[in-house]
Amino acid sequence: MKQMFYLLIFLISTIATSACVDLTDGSLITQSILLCSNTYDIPNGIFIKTSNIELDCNTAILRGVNGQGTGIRVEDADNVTLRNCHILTFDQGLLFKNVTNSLVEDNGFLKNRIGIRLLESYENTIRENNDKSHQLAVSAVSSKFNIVMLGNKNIDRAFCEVNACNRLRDMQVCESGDFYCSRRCSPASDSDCGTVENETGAMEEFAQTPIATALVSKEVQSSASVSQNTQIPPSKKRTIPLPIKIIIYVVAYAIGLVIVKKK
Amino acid sequence: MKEVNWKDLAMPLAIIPYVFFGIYLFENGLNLVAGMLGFVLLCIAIGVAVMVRG
Repeated sequence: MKQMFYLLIFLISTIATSACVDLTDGSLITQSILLCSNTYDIPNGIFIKTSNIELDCNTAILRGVNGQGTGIRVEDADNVTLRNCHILTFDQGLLFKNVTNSLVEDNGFLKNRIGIRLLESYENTIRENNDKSHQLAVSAVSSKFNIVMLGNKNIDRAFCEVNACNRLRDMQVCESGDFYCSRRCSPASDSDCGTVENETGAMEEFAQTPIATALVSKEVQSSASVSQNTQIPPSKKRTIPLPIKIIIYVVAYAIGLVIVKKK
Repeated sequence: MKEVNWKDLAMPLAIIPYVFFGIYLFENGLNLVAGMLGFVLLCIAIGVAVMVRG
C-alpha cells in the first residue's frame, strides 16, 4: 500500500510538471512558459517585456498572415531565453528592442521578410538558428557586442564589425564613449558607467540616457589584450551518443536476463 | 545440451521501454510526451505487479 502511495505521488508530479501552455494572439508573456507543440496563427505576434524569463516553444509553429507584423517582440528586457520556436510568414520574425544578455537558440525563421532584428540591443547570443528569410536573416541597428551565429548560413554585413558574426571572438565590452555600460564593467574600466566617486548616481543618470544611434559605425577592437571575455551560457539540450545508448540498452537487457534466470 | 527457453530471452525485453523512457527524460527533460510515456509505463508496471502478486 505504501509503495502504491509513492507511485501515485510520482505519477501526479510527473503529470503536473509536464503541463504546457497554449498561445493566444497578441499575448504578453510575463513568466517562463513551455508552449504546447501546436501551430498558432498569431497575426499580431506575442510580446515579452519581462526580464529573466524563458520561452520554450517546444517546436511550436508561430505563423503570421501575409508577411505582416512581428512574430515575437521582446522589449526593454534582460536575460530572456527563446528556444525551439518556428516563426513563419511575418514581416519580422523576432524583434529585440533594448534587450540585453539574452539567448536565442534552436529556432527556425522561415519566409519572413527579416528573420531577426536587433534594435539598441547588447550582449545577446543568437546561435543555432536556421533562417530562410525573404530579405535579411539578421538586421542590427545601434546594437553591439551580440554574438550572431546562424546554423545554416554565414552573415557578412556591416554590423559584424561591432558584433561577433559566424564565430566567437573577444569583444571589448568595456569601451568608453559608446554610451553603453555592461554589467561586467565598472566605472574604472568604462567611463560610460559613471565616475568612481559617484557610481550609483551616475548609473541612474545613464539609465535615462538615450542610446546614440551612431553606435553601429564604431568598431570594436578585437585585440588579444581584452579584459573581459565573452561568455556564452551553456546549452540546455543534453544528448547521449548512440554507442552509449546501445551499451545502456544491452546492459539493461543483460540485467533483465540475469534476473529472469535467477527466478 | 540444455534447451533454450525463448521466454527467458524475451522477458528481459520488457525493460527496453523503461530504458528508452529514462534516456528520453535525460535528453529532453519533463515535457508532455515524457509525461504521457511515464504514465503508460507506470500503468503497465502497476498492472504487472498486481498480476504477479496475484
